[in-house]
Amino acid sequence: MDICYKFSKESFLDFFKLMQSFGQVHAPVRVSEQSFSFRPVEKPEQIAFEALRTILPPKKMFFPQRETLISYSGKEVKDHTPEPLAQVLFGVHPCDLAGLGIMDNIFSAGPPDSHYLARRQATLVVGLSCMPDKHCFCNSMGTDFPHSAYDIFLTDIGEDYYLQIATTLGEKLFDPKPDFIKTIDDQDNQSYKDFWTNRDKAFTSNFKSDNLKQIFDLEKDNPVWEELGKRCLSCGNCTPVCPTCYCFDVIDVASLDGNSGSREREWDSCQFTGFAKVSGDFNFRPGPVDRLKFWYRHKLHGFDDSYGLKTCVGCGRCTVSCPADIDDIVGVVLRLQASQNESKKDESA
Amino acid sequence: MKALNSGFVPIKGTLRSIVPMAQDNYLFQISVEDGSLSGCQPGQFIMLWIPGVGEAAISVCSGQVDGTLELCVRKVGRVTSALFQLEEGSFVGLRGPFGHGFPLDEYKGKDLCLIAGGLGVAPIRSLWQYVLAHRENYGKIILIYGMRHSIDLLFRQELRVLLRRHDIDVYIAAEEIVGPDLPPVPEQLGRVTDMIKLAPIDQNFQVAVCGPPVMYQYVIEELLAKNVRQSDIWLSLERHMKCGMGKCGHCFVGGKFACQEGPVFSLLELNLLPEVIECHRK
Amino acid sequence: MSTNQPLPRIAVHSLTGCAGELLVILENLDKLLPFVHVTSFPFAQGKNEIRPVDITFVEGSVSQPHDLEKLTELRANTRWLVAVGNCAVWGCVQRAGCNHCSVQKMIDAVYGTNSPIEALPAAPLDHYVPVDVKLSGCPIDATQFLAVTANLLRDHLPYVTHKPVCLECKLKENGCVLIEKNLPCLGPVTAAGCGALCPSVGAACYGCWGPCEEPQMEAMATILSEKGYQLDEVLGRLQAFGAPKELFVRLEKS
Repeated sequence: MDICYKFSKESFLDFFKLMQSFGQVHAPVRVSEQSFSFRPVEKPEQIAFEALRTILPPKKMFFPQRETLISYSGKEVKDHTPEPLAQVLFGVHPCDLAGLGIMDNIFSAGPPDSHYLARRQATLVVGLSCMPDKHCFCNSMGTDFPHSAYDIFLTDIGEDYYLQIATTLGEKLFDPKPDFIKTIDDQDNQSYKDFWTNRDKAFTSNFKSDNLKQIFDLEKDNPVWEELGKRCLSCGNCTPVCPTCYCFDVIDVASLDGNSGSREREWDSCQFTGFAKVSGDFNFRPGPVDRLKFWYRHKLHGFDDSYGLKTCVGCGRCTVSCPADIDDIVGVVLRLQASQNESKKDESA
Repeated sequence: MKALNSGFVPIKGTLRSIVPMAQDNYLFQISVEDGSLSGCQPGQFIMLWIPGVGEAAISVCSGQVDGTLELCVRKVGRVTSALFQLEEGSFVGLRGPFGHGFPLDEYKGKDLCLIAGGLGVAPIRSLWQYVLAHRENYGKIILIYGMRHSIDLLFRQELRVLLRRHDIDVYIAAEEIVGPDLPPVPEQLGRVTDMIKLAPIDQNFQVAVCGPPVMYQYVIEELLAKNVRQSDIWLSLERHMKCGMGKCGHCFVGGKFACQEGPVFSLLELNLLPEVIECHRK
Repeated sequence: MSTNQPLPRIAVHSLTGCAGELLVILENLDKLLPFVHVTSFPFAQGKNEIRPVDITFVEGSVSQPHDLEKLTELRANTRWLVAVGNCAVWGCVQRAGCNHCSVQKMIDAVYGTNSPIEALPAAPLDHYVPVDVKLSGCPIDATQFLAVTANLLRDHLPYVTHKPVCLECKLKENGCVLIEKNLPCLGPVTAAGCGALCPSVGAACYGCWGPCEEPQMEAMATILSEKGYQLDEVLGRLQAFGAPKELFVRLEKS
C-alpha cells in the first residue's frame, strides 16, 4: 500500500532539491514547438510540466539508443555493464509507467540484461498525473492509473501535489520527513479521487479492448492492412517512439589495429526490410503490409508467450510520429471492430 | 557494485581442427576453456563470435559436448566467411547454449525419424549421435537426408558407417547427381518428400526435422499423410538472431522468441503462431 | 600483425566527382597511415604507382571514357574495390541528369556542337565492374569509413546497413520536420549514415546518400502529394541523386 502525503506546489523547489539530493534529475523539457524530451535539468523552471508525451519514451534512460556492450583487446574481453548511478526520472505519466513495467519484465526475464538493470535499479522514478489530449487512449489499454514501476507518484490536486510513495527507495527520500511534506486529510483524499474521476471523463478517443485478441485473429486478412501497408513508408518511426519496443541490432566496431574493438547495440525496427531476413535471402516479413500487421499484432493482440502482455500502453506516440498517419491505433481498432460487427450482421441477415 | 555480468561476454574458445566437408562447408572443432558448454543438448545453438565481425547463431552438431564441440558451417555471410579464414589455434568467442533442443525425454522408448534437408543435417547429426549413444532407449530409428546436389553431401564417412549399422535405417538422396556419387543407397535421386514416402513411418513415430524454410510445408504434408501426429512432429526453425536471450526481437515468431522457446517447436505449438512456415525469397 | 610483414597497400582514386570523398579520406589519413602503405592517391601525393594493392577506394561516377579505362585498370589491380560516395555507388546528380536527357544534347548545350568532349551516360561503378563494398555518402562518414577499412584490412566483409535516415533522426530525438513543418523530407526513403544531418538542423533531408534498403517510393510520393507537393516536383526530388529508374516504374505509371 502506498504511503500518502501532500505538499504545496509552492514548495516544489524543496521537492526538487530533495530529488537532486538523490541524483541527477531528468525531466521533460521542450525541444521544439510541438516536442518534448527527457533531459537532465538543474532547476524546476526547465521542466515542461505541460508535456504529455516526449518524443522518445523513458526507456532511453535504461536502454540507451546506442551503447557499448563489451570491448575487446586480443583475447581480453571487457564487460561494459555500467556502474549503477543514482539518478531521478521525473514526470513519468501512467502510460509510460506501464511501459516501463513491461520493459522491466522483458529485460529481467530469461537471462537478465545487466546493462538495462544496472541503470534501472539505481533510478528513482517519480510519476506525475496528466490530462489526456485527443491522441491519448491509455484508458482503453487499462494503463490510465499508476500501477507499478514508480517509486513516487504526484497527482495534481489544485494547490497541492498528492504524494504517493510506493517503494523503500521512495521512502528514503523522506527520511527524516522534511517540513514541507504534510499529512493528508479526508478532503485531500476526496480531491485525489475527484482528479482521477474528472480525468477519466476527459478522454475523447477510446475503444473497448476486451475483444482485441479475437479482433486481431479474425481480421488478419481485413482489407485495412493492405490499405495501410500501401501508405507505409517503412521508416520505422513507430518503434523507437514506442515505450515498449525493445528490438536492437548488435554491431561489431573494429579498430584499425586489427586487434581490438567493441560490440555495440543500437535500437532496431521490425519495420525495416532486413529485420526478419534469414540466410538464403528468405524473408518472413517481406512487405510493408506484413511488417505493419506484425507490429500492430504485437502491440494489441499481445505476446502469445509467457509474458501474457499486450504491449501497447495507449500513449499515442506512434499516432503522432507517423508521417503516413497509419499508426492511428484507435482508428484502426475501431475499423476492425466495425468489420466484426458488419460480418455479424451479415450472418444474422 | 554490479548486480550482474553482461550476458554478452563470450566464453573463450580455440579452433582445434578445421575439416572441409564439401564446397563451402567445413566442420570446426572448438575447445572451450572452462567446460561451461557441457550439457549442451542436440538442437540447441550457440552464438559464435568473430571479434570485429560479429556473431552468428549456429547449431551445435556434436551429440555430446564436454570440453569440445563441433560446428558444421556453410560459408554464406560475413561472420561465416571470416570463420573460414581462421586457422587452427585461432580464438573465437562463444555464448550459449541457447534455446530448447529436441525433446529427448519425449523421444524415450519411441520410434524416431530424423529428417534433414541440406545444411539442416548439422543439428540432426547431433541428434543421431546422441540417440545412437543411448541406443537402448529408442525403438526403430530412421534417418532421411536430402540435398540438392550430391556434391554437397556432408558427413560422408560417418554416413557410410551408419549405412553399415543394422539399428538405423538410412535414406539419402540428392535432387541431382553432381560430382561423386552418394554412398551406396537404393534410391539416389529424389527429394526429402520422396524418401518420406518410401520410409516405413507410421503414427508411432516421433519426427525431428531441420532444413531450409521452404522445405517444411512439403515435409509436414507427407508426414501427416503417414498419420504422424502433429504433436510428434518437431521442427527446428531458422531465424535471424542477435542476442540469444529473448531480447533483440529478431527471432520473434508469432509471439515467441525462437532463441528461448525454440528453436525446436512441435507442429502443435506452431499451429498457434502466425508467420512460422511461410516465407518469401527475394 | 607481426612487424616484419609489409603493410597492406591501399589506393585512393577519383573518377567524375567533386572530390568530397577524397577530402574525407585525406582528413583521416593520419589515422590510417600506421596501418597501411598508400601506393597511390593522386589527390594527396606526388608519387603514385599503379600496382597490385589490397584495397582501392574509388569515388566519382563513370562519366567519361577515361574514367572507364582507369576503373578497369584499378579493378584489375586490387583485391577489394570499395565504391565511396554517392557518385560511385549510385551515380549521383550526374546520373540523374543523364536519366533526363541524352548525353549528346548536354554536350552540345554546354560545349557547343562539334566539341572534342567525349562523355558516357553517367553510371555508378558496378555498371561496369564488380564492386566489393559500397559505402555511400555525400560525402562519406569518416567513422563509417574507418570502421569499414578496419574490417577490410583483416579481409572481413564490413557490416554496412541501409536503414533509413528516420532511424538516426529518431535516435537523436529530433522533432519530425515532415510532420511538424510539412517539409518535403526524404528521410523515410534515404539511406542513413549522415546522422540525420539536415533534419537535425530543421531542414528536410534531400536524399543525398541515395535510397535506403527497399525504399517505399510510392508511399513517399503519396504522403508528399497530400502535403501539397506536385508529383513532378516530388519525382524530381526523389531522383535528384541518381536513384535507379527501376525504383520509380510503378510511380511513373500512376
